[in-house]
Amino acid sequence: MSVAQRSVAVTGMHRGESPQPGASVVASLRRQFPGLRTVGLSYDPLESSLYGQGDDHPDAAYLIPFPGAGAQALLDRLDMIRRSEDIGYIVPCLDSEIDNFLQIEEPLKERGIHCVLPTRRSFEDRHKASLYGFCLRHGIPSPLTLVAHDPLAVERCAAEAGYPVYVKGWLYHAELVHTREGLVAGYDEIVRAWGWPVVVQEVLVGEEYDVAGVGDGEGGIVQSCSIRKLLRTAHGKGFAGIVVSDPAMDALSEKIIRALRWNGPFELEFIKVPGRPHALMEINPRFPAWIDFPSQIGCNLPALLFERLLGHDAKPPPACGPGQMFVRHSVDLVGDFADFAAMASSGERIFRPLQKPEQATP
Amino acid sequence: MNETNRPGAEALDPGQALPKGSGRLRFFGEEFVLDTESGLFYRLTPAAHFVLRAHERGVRTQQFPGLLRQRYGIDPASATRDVELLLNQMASMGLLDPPPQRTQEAGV
Repeated sequence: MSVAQRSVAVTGMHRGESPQPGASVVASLRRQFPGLRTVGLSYDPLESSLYGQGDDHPDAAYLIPFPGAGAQALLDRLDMIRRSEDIGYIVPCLDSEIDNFLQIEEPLKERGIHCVLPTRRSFEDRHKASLYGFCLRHGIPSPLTLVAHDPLAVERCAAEAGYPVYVKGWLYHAELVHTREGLVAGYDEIVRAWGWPVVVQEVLVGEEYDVAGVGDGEGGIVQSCSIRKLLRTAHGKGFAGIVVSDPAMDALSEKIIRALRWNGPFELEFIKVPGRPHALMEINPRFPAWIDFPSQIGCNLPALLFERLLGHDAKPPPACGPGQMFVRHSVDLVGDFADFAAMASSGERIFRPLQKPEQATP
Repeated sequence: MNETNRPGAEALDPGQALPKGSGRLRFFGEEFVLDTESGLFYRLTPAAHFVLRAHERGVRTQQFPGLLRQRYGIDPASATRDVELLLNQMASMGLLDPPPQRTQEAGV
């Protein structure tokens, strides 16, 4: 196993009701690189994986500004953190922060910090508001999706799509709206949280499938894992899944990633309406929260990504076998208020002190 | 939490035609079968398990009534009707070739 001297910083460390992928990425990296130093970049002292002692627990955690503060604020904070941590690599795990990381990709490189990020073009093509146009251009089945910049436009779009419709925020949040009367309640909270525009989308009813993978930036998929969601939360998040092997969905995924020339981690979300081909619902520019599931059955995609960050021409891990399944399990982690207070006041928590160079993490 | 292996949804999906012995179906005892392509799974009656297993072995569909008669000692008319119902149901769930192909095959 090759040696990585520098630490990997990961965001999205909360495994709450709507779990973020960071803790799964940390666990997957540890699985293949047991001594690797991992740093959690958190937005909140209550992010759950800062508590507990499992494999998904980072060696240190630092608060960073919310994405809305902008790219420069993020870079400034990373410069501060670099005084204590030798960060060599960052794996962003939240949709809302990719834009900032794209803006500071070059300054990070100058500091010797590497990320695997999509190009600006491919990142924007998969945006909720652009995805329908992208799908039309490339002959990829997808639900009718319209962008509304004001309340009148929401009504117009919903009428065009036909009720019921999904009203979705620019980045997060979706509400199912059944009637014209329910529209305002549907988009009001979304607009307050995320602002205009909102996306109005035709509702498709069928089985939900996800494909997580790593794109090589040249149009190929280095490796991927496809699942059907067995359980869903009220928010539509997969709480259990089973690996499938569907040539038609694989071909569609390859077509999408080839068209985007996607670089780095991705998650494709499909719905299969009975009797119709899979329809692309969303493309997330990061690993999904269930990414440690394929790692546990031999297909470690975060480790594959890390090998690419190290510049290694690593052999892709074997594909997951159909029939393997996961069920998410919520547990209560124990902490002391002192843990929370330390993080909230100093903005950092060190769980494992940085070793001297001669003891550097493998 | 929503469980998402709804029989209603499955029954509507014709899916793709299943080539015999494709290995797409995985059996778990005599009660469960998993379609590894769609990720949908089904609880089978003993007769459905018997027919589906025979199909996976490459037995032709027109032989099914005879096999069912032998196995369960039922009269020919019932066996033929039961097989037809079973095959239609399985086709509607995407587990078997759709009916037109079967009809053609049966006529050979």
